[in-house]
Amino acid sequence: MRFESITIKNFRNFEDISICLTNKNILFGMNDVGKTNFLYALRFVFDKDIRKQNFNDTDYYKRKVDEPIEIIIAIDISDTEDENSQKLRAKLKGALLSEQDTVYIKVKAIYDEKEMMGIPILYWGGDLEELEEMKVHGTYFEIDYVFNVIYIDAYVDMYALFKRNANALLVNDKEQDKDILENIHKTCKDLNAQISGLSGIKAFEEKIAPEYKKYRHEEVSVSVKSEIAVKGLYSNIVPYIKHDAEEFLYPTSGEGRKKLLVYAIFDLLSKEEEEKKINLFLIEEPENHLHRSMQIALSHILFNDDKYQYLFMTTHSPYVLTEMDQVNLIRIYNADKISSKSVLYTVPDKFKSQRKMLNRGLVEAIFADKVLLVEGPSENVLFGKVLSEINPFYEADGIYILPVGGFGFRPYFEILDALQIANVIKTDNDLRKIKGEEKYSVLGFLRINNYIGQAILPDSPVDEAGVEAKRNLYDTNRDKLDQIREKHSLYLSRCSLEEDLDEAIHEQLIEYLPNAEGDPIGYLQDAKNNHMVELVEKLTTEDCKNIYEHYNFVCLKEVMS
Amino acid sequence: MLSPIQKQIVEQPGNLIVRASAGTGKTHTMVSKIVYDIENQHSHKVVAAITFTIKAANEIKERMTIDTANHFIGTNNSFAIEEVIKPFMKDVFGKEYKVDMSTDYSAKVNSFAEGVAKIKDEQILCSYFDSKENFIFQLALNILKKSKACQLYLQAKYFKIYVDEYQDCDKDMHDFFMYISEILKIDTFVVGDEKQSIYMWRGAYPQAFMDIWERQEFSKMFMRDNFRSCQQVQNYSNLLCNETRDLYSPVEDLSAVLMICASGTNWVPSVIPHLDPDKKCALLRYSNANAEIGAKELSVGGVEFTYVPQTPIADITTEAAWIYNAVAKYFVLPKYSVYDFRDEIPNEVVGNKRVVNYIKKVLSVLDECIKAEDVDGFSKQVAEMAEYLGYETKDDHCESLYKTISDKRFHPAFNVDGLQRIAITFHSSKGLEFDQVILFVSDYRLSSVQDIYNYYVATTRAKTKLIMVYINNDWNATQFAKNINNILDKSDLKMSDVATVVDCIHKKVVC
Repeated sequence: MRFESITIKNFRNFEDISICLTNKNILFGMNDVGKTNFLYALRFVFDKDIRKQNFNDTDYYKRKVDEPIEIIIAIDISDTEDENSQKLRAKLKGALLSEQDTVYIKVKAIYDEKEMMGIPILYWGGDLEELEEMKVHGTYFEIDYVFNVIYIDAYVDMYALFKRNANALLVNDKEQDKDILENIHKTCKDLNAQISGLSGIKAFEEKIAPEYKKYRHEEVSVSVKSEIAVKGLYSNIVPYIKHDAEEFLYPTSGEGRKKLLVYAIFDLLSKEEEEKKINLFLIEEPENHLHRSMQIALSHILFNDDKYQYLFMTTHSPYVLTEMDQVNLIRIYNADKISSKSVLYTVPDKFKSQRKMLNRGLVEAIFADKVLLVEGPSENVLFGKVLSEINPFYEADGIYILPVGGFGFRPYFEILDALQIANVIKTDNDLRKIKGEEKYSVLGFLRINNYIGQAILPDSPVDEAGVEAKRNLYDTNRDKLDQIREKHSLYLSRCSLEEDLDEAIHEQLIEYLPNAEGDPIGYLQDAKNNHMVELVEKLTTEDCKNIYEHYNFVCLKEVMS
Repeated sequence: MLSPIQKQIVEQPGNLIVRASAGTGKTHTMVSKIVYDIENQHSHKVVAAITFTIKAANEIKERMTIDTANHFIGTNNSFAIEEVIKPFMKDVFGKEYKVDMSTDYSAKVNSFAEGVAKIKDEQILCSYFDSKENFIFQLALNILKKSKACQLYLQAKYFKIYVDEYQDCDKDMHDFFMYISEILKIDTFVVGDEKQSIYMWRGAYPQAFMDIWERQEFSKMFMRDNFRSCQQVQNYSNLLCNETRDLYSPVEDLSAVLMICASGTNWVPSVIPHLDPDKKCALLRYSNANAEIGAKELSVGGVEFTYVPQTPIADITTEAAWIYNAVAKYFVLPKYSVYDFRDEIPNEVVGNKRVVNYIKKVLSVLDECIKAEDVDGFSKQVAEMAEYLGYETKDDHCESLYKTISDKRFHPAFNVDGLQRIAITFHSSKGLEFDQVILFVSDYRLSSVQDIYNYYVATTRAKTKLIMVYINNDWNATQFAKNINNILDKSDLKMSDVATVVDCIHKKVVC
């Protein structure tokens, strides 16, 4: 069973959007763009407790109550052997005909002016044009026998959750429990007898009754008891955490611990349902209260544990996405009205083993509005410095510099393009010797042709390498390269970072890098990162402006525009 | 409590066929097995428990100790209709068959094509003129074979199918169930007893049951230990059929089975001295007319017997049948309340207050109509309530219901358990048991297999005493005598070895 898509019409801040889905879906975007509302759209389909609240007029997009709310989810069940496909099919009955592999589940609510609400009606079937109305028993629709929604709020109260589910979590129905429970009951009575024996308690009880009677004259007495004897055993027990090596019990007071325990409790609860139903996890911002390392640990579970097979999660945290793979990234953003873009992100096979490394930059970039993709750490250090001199808040304004390293640009810009996150690429004008020949292939040109998908730049090998050859090559094709900058936001270095920088601020390089002994380019290229850091520390605002304004670094201007 | 063989049946996985002689605890074993299988099934899948009558389905539901809401427990026709025909007919025959169908087996057709056309034109699922052919199951199998969606649906939903009283299946049902078992590979459990096949006249095909007995992919078990009847009654019935003949175990006391030779005029005084007035007794006759006459004669003779007739609503086979039955019970049985009525509504959520209030209102109006002898008003109210509950009534059915309620003679039919002595047809005695049974051997000539099976069913209703009346000079009785002697002869036995023969013509007891 695989989620295919969702369409939301006239619901809250969604006028009419359709988004592709898969089984693991991550929703991200700025605050207040509708991530929670998106989860609500799902809950109105799958969660009977939400559905029975009906729709208010404010649930209608801009209160347009003359149009119905419609939420349609498409699910592929062509895998007939899959148990979850079977769970769904077993309830669909004749709503799904032969040759139909996609199930549409639709909630529709026409606003009723008299009742002042929209009552959700559910439909399903294999033909979107001829869906069958879903049977309903009380507040249970057929679908409620198929799906079990586990909604985990960003601020779920662990104690409340534990208490609410204590009866399901703590089943003491074995024969030997009877005696123990009887004993506990007796002990509680003893406890209360002991408590009443304390002089302070006695004194309080004696003093408080007359005070009470001043306000209201009743024949009452006040007694102080332990809650456990009054409200029952389960009212008074809470989970404690004990480190295996230590004797002490730690109250689960830290918000982080509580959060982890919340996830553990939900795990247990979901296991109960797993046999008969399909568990659907809807998780809001799980990063809250969790330390970075805990977020990374959580990421490992979310993306590796079978339990979270069907996941819809909102997040603002790149760490939660550290291990992402086979995941649908859904970016919700606000241009004039709410829009969204989504992309199925799969770690390419060749990078499977380096998934975390590949993801590290990407997970940061997808939270940005504009991304400058650069070759490596030197560019990152230099450009970061320049941009922060131009605008100290550039990162807060949604600009992010992503060094692609050995992964190349493609895995990154494809995802960013698909999510409509503007991105600018700055790459080197590389030449590489062809084996066995005295010729050099024009690697930088080929790369650009490849990214554009069109052979705009000449691709035949050249006879010479070296700085001058590169500059020559660039200058001969400058018109085309300028057009490519304009049209595709692809910026080729004339040579590489160091030579290009030298063209912009040669004098300063000589001055700031005394150890370079007059060869700043060689020096910078020698121990790339360290020497670049050494340089950046000395760059002045004036220098940064010069770099920013230089033809070789127009990419910076574009990313800031 | 389960006997060793019953326990073995309960725990046996996979396809299984069980031959269960009368009184061997068949229903108890089947219910235990269903519960066992459900508790050991860790997935969303459910079972279908399929019976021949609504009564049998309700009995299974009542006996189940676990929540059965998602499982299918119902009659074979409702399984074919609700799980195959209604949902998937459109998948095979086209969108014009996406109609709200109702069943009316009194509507008859000659051919498959006519039956299909009737669904399109009148939204009625009907039956064939030829009672040995089964339109519902021919249609269901036709759809099942052609609809991939239907096949996948059944496979996705069911992990096992249980069919009760398999000997009563006709050929079309058998083909249908075997398709599910063999082609869809859904585990199948069938239980039955070819000796108890009393419906061959309307197409039942006990050979189907024996056909499964021969199949390799089915495990086989035989329940022969009768827990109902005393040893002598068991002996007598076991001797009737080849496969149980070896269970014969001689007993000293032959007082439990009596063969009373009497005349048409003195059979009552000949029988009465042998009856224990404190124990329940049933007179079983082949025809309703003879049952009624028999009850009258016994009552005149000093022992009250109540004739339980077939009610006018007993033959109704439409979907609304349960409504007529429930309304009748409400007015006939003092303890039957509006809540009992509600509990009979198929697929209704328990505790729906609005429905209860509505039914209450309608029933009080019906009460007024009965008092005022207003048949039309009565029919109109019943039709209205049926419509409210999503069913359709027919005028003549409503009139039959009115007759059932207003004519006191039909009332005993709703209270068979509460009567000490009754007279009924042996067909309606199936599945019942009585301390004492009186039967007339002239009802069973034993010249056909069907006849022997009928006789087997009648004799095995008795727990402690079986009284057989032999009317002298009756041609049918003579035939019986000839055939029973041949049957007993196969075990080298005579009637006097297995029964106490009482000669009331010549006033002496032959030992």
